Amino acid sequence: MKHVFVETNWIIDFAAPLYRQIPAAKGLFDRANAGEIELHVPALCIPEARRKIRRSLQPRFEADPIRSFVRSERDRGTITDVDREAVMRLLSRYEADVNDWFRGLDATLQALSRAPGIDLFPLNDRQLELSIELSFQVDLQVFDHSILAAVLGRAEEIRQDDVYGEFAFCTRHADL
Amino acid sequence: MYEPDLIVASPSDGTTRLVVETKLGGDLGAAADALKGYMIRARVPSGLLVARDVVKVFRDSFRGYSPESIETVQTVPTSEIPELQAYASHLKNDPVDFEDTVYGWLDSLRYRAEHGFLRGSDSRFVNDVVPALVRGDIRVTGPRSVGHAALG
Repeated sequence: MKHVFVETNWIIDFAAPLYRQIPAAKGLFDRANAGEIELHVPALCIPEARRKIRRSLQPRFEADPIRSFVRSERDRGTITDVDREAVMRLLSRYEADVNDWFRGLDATLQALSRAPGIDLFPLNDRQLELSIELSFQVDLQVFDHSILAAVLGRAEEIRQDDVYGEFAFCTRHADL
Repeated sequence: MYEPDLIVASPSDGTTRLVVETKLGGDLGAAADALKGYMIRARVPSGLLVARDVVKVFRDSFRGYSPESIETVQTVPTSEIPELQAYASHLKNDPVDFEDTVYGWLDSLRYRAEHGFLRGSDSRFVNDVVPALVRGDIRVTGPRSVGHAALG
């Protein structure tokens, strides 16, 4: 079996609204569902992903500057009322769609944790001890020590039962 | 010159995303007009008027540069917000404490939104208040009360 470890960034890339979802992240999920690989996700990454998603994907922050630009240009007479209405309508739809997606976010994360081929695992005592050891060895953020310890500790446990298994750590985290 | 009681601003670029006026008594219409005028002048897209009986959420429609551009998108009875119920039921009446309590409510709302524990009337504030809270710092514009100073 091929064991692929992922972290918070994968959850964000996978759970994002369709227009922002990263195909490679969805690809890993599909392969896990099909039994080609086992995807291991530290459970502590779920709340971190939820928090990051809520901070970074708010549609107002993208839509409002464009609305402000349209108002300014309409005031200067460089765009027509028809164009303004079209842009405003599109932005309202965009905001409504993303807000609908937000309402389903927790259900999406719960479904992810129960999907076939997904191993959502909690930190155990050994991994917590390892995170303390790592804090003296590598310069990472506090939370990242725990994620790295979870990945290394879980991989070590799995290797005892799956000696010939392949192991990979898929991360877009600059430090990890 | 009018200033709202609380502002929520992005720590990264200083942009004000939300302004909040707390008002236990007096002329609510005048308070709403002042807040709307400030939103236009300072280019703040969302506003919140928290009064004893009602909480109103304002939002800039970006249709012009007058207060008429600001729409009321939510009107929520204050009694539906657990943190503010003591004021809605007249058990508490101190306006400075009220401002502190509103600060605490917004901080709790942010926490619940970030961690997926929204409850009751929280959903009424999801589209126009929560986005500012999760990306901003809540700041008090006037002198701080003893309670606020203790909160740091």
